Amino acid sequence: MPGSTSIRGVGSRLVRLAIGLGWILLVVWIAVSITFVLSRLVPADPARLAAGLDAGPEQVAQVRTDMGLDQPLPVQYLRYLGDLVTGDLGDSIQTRQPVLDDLAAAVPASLELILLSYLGYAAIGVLAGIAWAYWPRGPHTGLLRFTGVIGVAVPVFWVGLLLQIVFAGKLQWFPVAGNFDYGGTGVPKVTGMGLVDTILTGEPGLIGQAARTVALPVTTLVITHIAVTMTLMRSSLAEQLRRPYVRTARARGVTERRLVFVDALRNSLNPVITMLGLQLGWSLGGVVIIEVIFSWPGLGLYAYHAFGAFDYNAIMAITILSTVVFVVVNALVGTLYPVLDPRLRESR
Amino acid sequence: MTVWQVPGVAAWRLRRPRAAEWWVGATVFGIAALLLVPGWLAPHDPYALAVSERFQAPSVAHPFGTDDAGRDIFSRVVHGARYSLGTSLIVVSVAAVFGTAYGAVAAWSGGLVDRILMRVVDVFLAFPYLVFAMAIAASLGRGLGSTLIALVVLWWPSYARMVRGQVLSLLKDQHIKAARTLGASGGQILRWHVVPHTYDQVTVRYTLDLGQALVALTGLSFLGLGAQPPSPEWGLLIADAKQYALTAWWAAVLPGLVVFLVALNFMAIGDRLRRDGTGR
Repeated sequence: MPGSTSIRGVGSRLVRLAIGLGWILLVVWIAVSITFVLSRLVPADPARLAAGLDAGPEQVAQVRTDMGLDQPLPVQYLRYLGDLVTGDLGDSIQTRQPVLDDLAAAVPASLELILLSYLGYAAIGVLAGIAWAYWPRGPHTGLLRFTGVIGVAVPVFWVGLLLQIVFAGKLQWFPVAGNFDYGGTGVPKVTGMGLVDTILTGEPGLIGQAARTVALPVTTLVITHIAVTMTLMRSSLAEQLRRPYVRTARARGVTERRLVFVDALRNSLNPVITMLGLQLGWSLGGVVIIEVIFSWPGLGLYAYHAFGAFDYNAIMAITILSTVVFVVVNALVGTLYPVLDPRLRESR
Repeated sequence: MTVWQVPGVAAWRLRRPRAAEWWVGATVFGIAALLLVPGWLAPHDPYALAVSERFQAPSVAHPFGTDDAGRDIFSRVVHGARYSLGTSLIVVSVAAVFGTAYGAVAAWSGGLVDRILMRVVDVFLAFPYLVFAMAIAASLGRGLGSTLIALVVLWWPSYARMVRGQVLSLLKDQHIKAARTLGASGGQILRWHVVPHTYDQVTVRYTLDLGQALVALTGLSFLGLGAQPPSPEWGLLIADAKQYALTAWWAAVLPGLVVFLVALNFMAIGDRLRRDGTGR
């Protein structure tokens, strides 16, 4: 009966959704607990840091009471969890503002780097992988193999510094550091992403200015992230192209374009999608070093300063944020498989 | 015909055994020399300050130039190997041993124990490892020990998952049945007839991970979370050199090149081992 199966389908889908959400909550809760316990194990005294160097003992004690650090650990832990549920991540020691506000201010800058580089390495990686699988031999393979080797072993900070020294220092094609400076340009801050906002104004000069600021950090990220996608796409597609059904399709006169881009590609996309999902989830970790090198005022630079100041509320907030992003992205990728691959739809 | 025998690495039957043997031998020897006797290889004292010689470009006397305090960067890189390479070796070794034992026990136990143990692994694999390593290292307080712990905590689960899968398939094998028939105990079977068969894959993974761990560790140090000054740890060297990278490029670029080449070497060896292993 089609009706009854669809009802059961909806039911099991709801169950799956509930299990998925439960899993996300569990992982986030464990992440919170681990960082909480670790950050309280250390002898460093946040109250001392928050009160400032010239504060007397009474002031430090006052700050400690204000921050709730004089309470026993389990009480602090439960209070933190309670605040977290209501969306309160506490105040930052450095900026003395709610961490949530700090994060909201830093997100657009990071998002600009993440999205631009992600589009870059996902698109170029997939296309280069397809080309490599379809033409396994030729003048391009040397370059592709080189890119593949570099991408897995090269330290991000080294590529970033190298590009900075050559293209910003010696050649001066790009600014050394910082993101798009809104001051005096009259560009309205709509998204907070320099490139997007200048494109919205439609002025080529300003767009060029914004593009020059993102060029080096985004290039660094593309160089260091492209290898995995590319080599995975290549091996996955090459494996499909060796299958008998491809030979059959060829014999039946299916056009090469249809054969590669429709038949074989669809069968080989799953591992690539998984990896692209993982990479999107990891991207927050990847931009930290980049933002430090290029003084890019995003989440990474904020995290870097938080590490330096032992700003534990900020450190925990960033851990939570990136864990949530990672787990949610992976869950979404999981729901994407059946859409892309009819074989999996059947089995569910 | 000489077949180089590493315990468990039966994969080591190469088309051109000599070249690859030299390659691995030179790598092992080079690393051992760097870790054990850096003083013999470094031309200068890595900590000696010589302000009159600051910011000297690479030359015969100073192959990698000097830094802002006139210290010889090449000597610092040589001495830094103990911190960077040594810590990476410890991280991956501990992770590999613990992960292998954990995965083997999970697969052997089966049932509820297996499911609980693997759920724990799933949780660890569900963390975004880089941010998490940073958070753990920052929470524990800066220092090489913190980064070491942070990386081990995040590195072992992948070994556990890999080894569990292998052990599960091995347990169905004929030779296990034979050993059982002969009256071997569970521990004996696991120790002598199952786990050694996972060494091939673990070795490949181990070699690849040495490169990854080095890059991760130097990255954390670059952020100030690892070794502290005046230690010549590689990531820290580069972080210090970042401030004057535009005037004295060598101070940042050359140590970074060393990190890259060493990591690349591990990856290349691991890749070679894998291809030889699957080519059997």
